[in-house]
Amino acid sequence: MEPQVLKQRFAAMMAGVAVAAAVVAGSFFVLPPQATHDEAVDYGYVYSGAKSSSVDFIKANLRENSLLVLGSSEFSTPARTVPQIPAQTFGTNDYGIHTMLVGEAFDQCLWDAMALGALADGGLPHNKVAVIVGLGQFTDGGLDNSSFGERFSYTLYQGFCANEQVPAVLKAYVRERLSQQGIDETTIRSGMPKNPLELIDGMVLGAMDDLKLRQGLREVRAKGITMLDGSAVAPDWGALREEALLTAQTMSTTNDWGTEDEFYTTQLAPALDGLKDARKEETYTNTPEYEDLDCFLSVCDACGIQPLVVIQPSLGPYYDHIGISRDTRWSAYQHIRDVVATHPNARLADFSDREYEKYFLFDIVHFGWTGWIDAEHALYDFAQDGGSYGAQ
Amino acid sequence: MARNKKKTLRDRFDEWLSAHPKAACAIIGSSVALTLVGIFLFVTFSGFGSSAEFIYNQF
Repeated sequence: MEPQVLKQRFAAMMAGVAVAAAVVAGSFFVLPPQATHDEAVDYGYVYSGAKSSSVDFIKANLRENSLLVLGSSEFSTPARTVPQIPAQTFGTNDYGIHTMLVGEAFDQCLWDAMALGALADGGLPHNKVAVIVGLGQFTDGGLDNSSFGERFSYTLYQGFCANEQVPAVLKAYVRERLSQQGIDETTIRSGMPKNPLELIDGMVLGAMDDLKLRQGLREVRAKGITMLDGSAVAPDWGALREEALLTAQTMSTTNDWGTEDEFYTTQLAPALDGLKDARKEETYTNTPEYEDLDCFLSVCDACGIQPLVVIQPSLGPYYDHIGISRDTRWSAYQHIRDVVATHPNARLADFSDREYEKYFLFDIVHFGWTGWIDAEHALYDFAQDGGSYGAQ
Repeated sequence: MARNKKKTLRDRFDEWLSAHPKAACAIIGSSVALTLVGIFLFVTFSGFGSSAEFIYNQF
């Protein structure tokens, strides 16, 4: 091929690269910045991975009376199943509190530690955070790398690393745990770059995550609810609980455990026979989750944030059936309590003694009708006065 | 005696590109751009947007 032709074709290739670069750059202008939001809309109850990973969006939507609540799949419970979820209780009544629910299924204490480190940089409203934990996240073997990888957020990790209040020892712990969970070394190192190459890695990964979040937040903005900001009244917890009990009695009619009818008939009942003693080897001891919880609470301490740890129980009769004894579960709950007790500033809302209370859960692991009311009562008291409800 | 080798599709395409230099440049440029944009879109946006779903049998 003649040199002239080669030159022409090389120039064409470079032009293609330039066009692609322009398209990539253009996408930053087409998708609005993460913090873009409507002040009249409350996005705190939207269940979304993009929302939960966007530091800018969450911080832009935290108000003076907001309480940041970290959790996982319990936030996905729909109002048609449990009308007592926070989106209904706090979202449609002006009780003078907004809860910013952050987290999705498989977000556990390591994810929470990174999220808090990123979000607490610069402080939180009243410097408080609540976190919901349950035995499901303390199972032997810990969270599998695939699930962790799907929910890993580079933006949260970068924000966590950038928070100067978080001591080096906690950052080193998180980096080590990320490595164990299968996050690649390039990603881990770029969070705290030590040379220009790692700096560039961080910029590229950060920009790509920024675009992902910009894209995902478009859906979140469409799901917000109208902000209530009138004259706040105190909730009548007794009345709310009575109403919850009545609702539960209409939605759980097919089983003695108090689980929701559709869940029981489609998920639980067909599987019960095959699950008899299926989990009798479970110990809830062979997991890094307790250390991760300790790390989360240490990040709280370092950032001057007071945490409320809400222990969500499991469905006692079901776990008896699958062979995880009450003693085993009790030991795990005690282990959680012991970790919390090493952080004097932390408060505890411990519902582990409700495992056998009908209607407290709507399935095997998630708050149900009365469960959500009691959990919300704990969140409300914590936000109002520091957490007398179930406090240590 | 060697027989005339039959032209392959690639030979014909190369001949066509040589005969149409402007079209060749357009094809090369747009191919590069589309490939890079495609990789970018796949890496950045694939598998994202839907919320993580809880799986009951995990517990």
